[in-house]
Amino acid sequence: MGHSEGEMILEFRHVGKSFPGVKALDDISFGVRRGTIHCLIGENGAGKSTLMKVINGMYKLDEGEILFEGKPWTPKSSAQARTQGIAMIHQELNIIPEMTIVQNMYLGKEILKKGLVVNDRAMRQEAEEYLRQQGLHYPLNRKMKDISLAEAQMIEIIKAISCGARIILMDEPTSSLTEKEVQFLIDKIFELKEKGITIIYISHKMEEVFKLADYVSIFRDGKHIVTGVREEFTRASIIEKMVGREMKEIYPPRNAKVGEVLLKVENLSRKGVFENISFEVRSGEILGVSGLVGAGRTEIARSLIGLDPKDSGDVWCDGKKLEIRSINDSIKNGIAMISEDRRRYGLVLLRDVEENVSMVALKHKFDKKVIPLKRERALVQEMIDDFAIKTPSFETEVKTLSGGNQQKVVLAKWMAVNPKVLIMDEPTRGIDVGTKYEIYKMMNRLTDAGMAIIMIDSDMDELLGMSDRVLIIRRGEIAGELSREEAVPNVVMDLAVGG
Amino acid sequence: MNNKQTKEKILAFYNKYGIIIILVGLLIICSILSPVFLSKENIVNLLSQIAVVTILTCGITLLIIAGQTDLSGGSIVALTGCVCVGTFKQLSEGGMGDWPAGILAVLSAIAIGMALNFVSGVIITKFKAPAFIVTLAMMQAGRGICYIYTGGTPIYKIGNIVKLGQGRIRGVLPYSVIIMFLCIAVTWFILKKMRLGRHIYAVGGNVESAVASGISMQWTIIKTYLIHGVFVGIAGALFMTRINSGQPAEAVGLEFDAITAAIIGGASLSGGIGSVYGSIIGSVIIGVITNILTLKSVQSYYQMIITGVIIVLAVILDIVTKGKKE
Ligand SMILES: Nc1ncnc2c1ncn2[C@@H]1O[C@H](COP(=O)(O)OP(=O)(O)OP(=O)(O)O)[C@@H](O)[C@H]1O
Ligand SMILES: [Mg+2]
Repeated sequence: MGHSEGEMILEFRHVGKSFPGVKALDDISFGVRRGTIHCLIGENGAGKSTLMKVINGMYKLDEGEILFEGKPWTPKSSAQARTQGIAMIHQELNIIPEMTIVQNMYLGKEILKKGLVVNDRAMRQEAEEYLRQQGLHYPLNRKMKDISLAEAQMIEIIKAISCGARIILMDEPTSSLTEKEVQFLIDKIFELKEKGITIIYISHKMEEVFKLADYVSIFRDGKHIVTGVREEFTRASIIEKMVGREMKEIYPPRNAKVGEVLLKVENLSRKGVFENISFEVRSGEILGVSGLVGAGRTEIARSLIGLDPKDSGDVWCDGKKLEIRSINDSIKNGIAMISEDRRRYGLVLLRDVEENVSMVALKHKFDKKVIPLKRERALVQEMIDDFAIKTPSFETEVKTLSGGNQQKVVLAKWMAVNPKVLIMDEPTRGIDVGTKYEIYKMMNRLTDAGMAIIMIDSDMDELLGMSDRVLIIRRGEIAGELSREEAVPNVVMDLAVGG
Repeated sequence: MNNKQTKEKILAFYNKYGIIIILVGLLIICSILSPVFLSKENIVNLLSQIAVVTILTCGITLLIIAGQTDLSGGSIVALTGCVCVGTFKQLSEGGMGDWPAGILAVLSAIAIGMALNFVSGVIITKFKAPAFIVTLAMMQAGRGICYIYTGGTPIYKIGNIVKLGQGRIRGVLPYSVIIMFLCIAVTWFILKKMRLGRHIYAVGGNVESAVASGISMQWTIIKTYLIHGVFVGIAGALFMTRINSGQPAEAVGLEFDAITAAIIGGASLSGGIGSVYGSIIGSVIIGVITNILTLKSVQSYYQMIITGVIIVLAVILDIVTKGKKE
C-alpha cells in the first residue's frame, strides 16, 4: 500500500494522565505516520478518548511528551490545536441547542462584516455552497435542538473535515449514523487521505476498522498493547488483545420462544412526521426497526410512549388498551424506552452513577417517598456488576465516565425496573465488542423470560444478527416487514431507500 | 509520583471541604480581631441574627438546585411576618388564648407563604416562564399586598407572640435558633433521603432526561416552591416577632443574602448542583462577616462594601481551586 513510508507526524513518549481514582493513560508510547488512517481500539474506558483530548489540548498530560511533526506539542486549548492543524470530532457532541446549524458550524470562526458584525448571510451562503458540493442538504436555519442526533453528528463531521486541518481526530464518528452516512464518511476519509491528511479514528465497529485502517493500535486499561499494520491483525486477534480473552462468535444464538402479542400499535400518526403506523410485538420476540436517518423511527417510538404528542393511534399492552398521556403512563404499564441520545434524554450528567441508575426505580420499583437507601445501593451494585460499568465509585459524576460506560448507565437505569416491553433506540451506541456480546446475551435472557424488545438500530449487522423480525420505516411509513430469514442486507436497504 | 498523589489528595479534600476551610480561617481571624467574638453571648447572638436568612436560604437552595430562583423572598417574608403578628394581635384582642392564637398566626403566615409561592410555581411551569421574571413580579406584588394589609403603617403592640422571636430556652438558647436547626434538618432530609430530593436534582441537572425518566417536571418544581413557601412563612413570623412589630417596609433584599449564601456554598445558578451543608456554611460566613464588622463598629456603609468584596473573594477562591482539577 506504500503507506508505511510516511514519517511520523505524531509521536507519543511515555504519555500518562490520571483522574481521581483512575489512571486513564499509563505510559503510552507509539507513533502515527503522516497520511495514514490510524485506528484506535479498546474496551470502554481504555483511555482512547482521553488520548484524543490530550492531543487536542482539552487535557494537559501529567507525564511524558507528545511530538507533533518532530516538535514538542503542548496545546493550551482546542482552539489553538485547530489553528495549528489538528481538528477533532468529539464522541459526545458539544452543540449549543439554541443556535442554528449555520451558527454552530461557524462557532469560533464567524465571518465578520468590517471585523465587527457577524455576517449571517455570508456564512449561510458559504455553508450552503459547501454542502451542495458535497451532495448534502440540511435545513441550515434550523436550531440544533430540532435536528436529529445523526444530523448533528454529520454537521460535526463536516465542521471538522472542512477546516483544513492536517490531522483529524475522529472519536466514534459513526456511532449514531446509518449505513448511508457511514458510507459518505468513509468516502470522505479516503479523499482526505489522498490529500495527505492524517486521520486518527476510534470505533467499536470492526467492519469500519478493517475497511479504513492502515495502522491499528490496541489499548487496554490505559495501556498501549500493540501497534501494527492492519494486515497483521484479524478480527479475532484484535478482540483477543483488547478484551484479554478469546471470543468466538459475535452474536449469541437466538432461539426465541415467541408467545402472545404483548404490544399492539394501531394507526399511530403524527402530522408531517409519520403516518398510519401499525405493528405488534410478541412476548419473547425482538422486533428490529430499520430505516434511514430522518425516516422517523425515533419519533414513532417517542410518540408511542408519550414523550412526544401524537395525532391519533391506539396502543394495547398485554391485551389492555392504554391511555398514554405522558411517559409515566407507559412506564406504569411496563413499557420503557432507552433513548439514542444519552446526554440529552438519558442521563443527568452532573449527578452521580447511583442517582442516575436508580432514577426510574425510585418511583417505579420502590415507590416510596423516603428512599430505601439499602435496597437502592443493592440495586445499583447489581446493575454495575451486570453491565460491568467501569466507575471509580457510586459517587462518581456520570459526566466523567467514558462514553461507553455512560451508555451502560442508561441501559442499567431502565433494566432496573424490569419492563415488559423495552424499546431500545441504538442500544449499543459506543459500547465495546466484549460488552456488546454481554448485552446481546442479556437481551436473550430477557426475551426468554417473556419480555418483548423493539430494537431501533442503524447498525445493519447487529440488527440482522439479533432481530426475529424486521420492520422497515421509510419517510414516516412502514415500508415493509421481513422475517429473520428474509431479512438480508440488500433487501432491507432497498426497502429503506425505496424504489 | 508520591508527592503528586498527596497533592491530589489535598486538592480532593479541599474540593470537598473547601468552604469549611474558608469558614474556619475566618473564625480564627475574627477571634484574633475581637476577644469577645468567641464568647457564648456573641455566638448565640450571631446564630439568632442569621436564623431568618438561613431559613430562607434552605428554601432558596432547593429552588436553585431545581434550576429555579426566588426574588420575592424578602417581600413575602415581610408580608407573612405582618400577617403573623397582625393575626395574633386581632385574635388575642378578641379574647383568644396565647397558644391557640399564636399557632393560628404562624399557620396563617405559612399558608400565605405557600399560596403565593404556589402561584409563582404554577405560572413558571404552566407557561414555561422564567422564574427570574415571575418572582420579580411577585416581589412587587407581595410588597404591595403587605402595604395594603398593614394600611402602610407598622403594627405595634403585638403582644405575647414576641416571645417567638425573642424568647430563649432557659434564657440561653433562642427559639429562633432551634427552629432554624429544624428547618435545616428538614431540608437535609428532603435532599438526601427523599425521592423528591433526587427529583429536584434531576430536574435542575437535565430537565429533558428527568422527564424522559418519568419525573414530572411541573410537580417537582411546584412542590419545591410550596416547601419554600413554608420556610418563607416561618422566616416571616420569626423576623417580625424578633423586631417586636409588623414592619411592612422591612426585609428588603433578604432573598439576595439567601441566594448569595447558596452560591458561596457551591450551588450552581444553572441548577443541578448544591447542598444544604454548603448553603448553611455560606449563610454562616455572611453572618460572621457582618458580626465582626459590627463588633469592630465599622460604619454600615463600609460594612456593605467589605461584605461585597469578601463574598466575591470567597467565590473566586472556590472556583479557582475547583478549576485546578484539570
Ligand atoms: N474528566 C474526567 N474526569 C475523571 N475521570 C475521567 C475523565 N475523563 C475520563 N475519565 C476516566 O478515564 C478513563 C478513560 O476514559 P476514556 O473516555 O478515555 O475511555 P474510552 O477509551 O474513550 O472509552 P469509550 O470506548 O467508552 O469511549 C475512564 O475510566 C474514565 O472514567
Ligand atoms: Mg471514548
